[in-house]
Amino acid sequence: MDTPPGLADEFHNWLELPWDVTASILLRFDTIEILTSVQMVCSLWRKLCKDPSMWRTVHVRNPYSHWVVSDLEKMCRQAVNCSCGQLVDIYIEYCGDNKLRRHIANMCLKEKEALLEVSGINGQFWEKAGVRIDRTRSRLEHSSARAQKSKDQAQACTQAHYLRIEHTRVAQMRKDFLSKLT
Amino acid sequence: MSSTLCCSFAKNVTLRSSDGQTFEVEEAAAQVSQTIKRMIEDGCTGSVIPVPNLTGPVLALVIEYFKKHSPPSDGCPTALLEMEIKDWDAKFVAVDNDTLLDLTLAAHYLEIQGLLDLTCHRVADILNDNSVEKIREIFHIKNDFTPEEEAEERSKIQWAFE
Repeated sequence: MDTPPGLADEFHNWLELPWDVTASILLRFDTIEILTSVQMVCSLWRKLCKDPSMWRTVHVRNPYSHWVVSDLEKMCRQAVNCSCGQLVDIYIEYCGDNKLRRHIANMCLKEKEALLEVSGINGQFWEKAGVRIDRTRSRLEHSSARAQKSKDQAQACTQAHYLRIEHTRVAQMRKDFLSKLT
Repeated sequence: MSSTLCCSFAKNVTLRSSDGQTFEVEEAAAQVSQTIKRMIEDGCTGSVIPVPNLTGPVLALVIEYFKKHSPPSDGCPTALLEMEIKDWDAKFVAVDNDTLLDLTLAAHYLEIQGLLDLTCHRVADILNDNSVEKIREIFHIKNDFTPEEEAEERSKIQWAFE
């Protein structure tokens, strides 16, 4: 790649990117990144990050246990709120008390066709919270074996658990996002 | 409508950049771009195809991408070939930020979904794990919040700054 770049100067600004391209970039960030830095960069990015379709996928991971549980819970809650009921895919790692899970469940229920996969020992919890679990398509069997295996950790209430509504591909999300912009 | 995929004699088209540079490329390769594909189908093949949004150096890079991603003449791509292309892609977008922006815009204008995914992914990779200030610095983005707005936003996510 020895050719120097050379597009017209007026294009050398990342804010000149078409909105849908910027949105497509922002969609690739983790939830925590969006919450703690991306949405604070400038008003355009902030505006794009406010759109509920940016929050259809909420993945809250905690690599190297960087965040304390209470912060993760706040972030989950905020991300779920931002989704305004459009949540289709949520993955929560090492966080979430019953109150938060109920809150998430309530937000998910707005998606009537919500299809859930529940892993860990919390399947019953979600059902009690009124979330319909499609057992034919969920990974419940697999997860219950895993839950049994990790029962000890699970009882310590710090178990990894996740709830997943059928994954929507980024392309589809981008399409929906675009149709909202136009 | 021209069919190029099983053509034994490769047919070329000429692309012209905004600064008047011309490049000859196989028609099948150029059709990696949906925009160019439509132009070819509309009968522009006989003459030069203008690409007014791209300068010569950027168009040259895009043509490298075309060549690598043109459909193989001898049937289906193998797993090995796919892996090689993936490696090549990673190196292709390991460029300075200005070039990355040029390529992103080019992918958008020319409707090259694969390249657009590649560049968007690369941008997100570069920005990941950086502070707000660092992101602004890397991409020369001006902070256009008023101090009040910024304070308000930060107060909403106070935990991130403690």
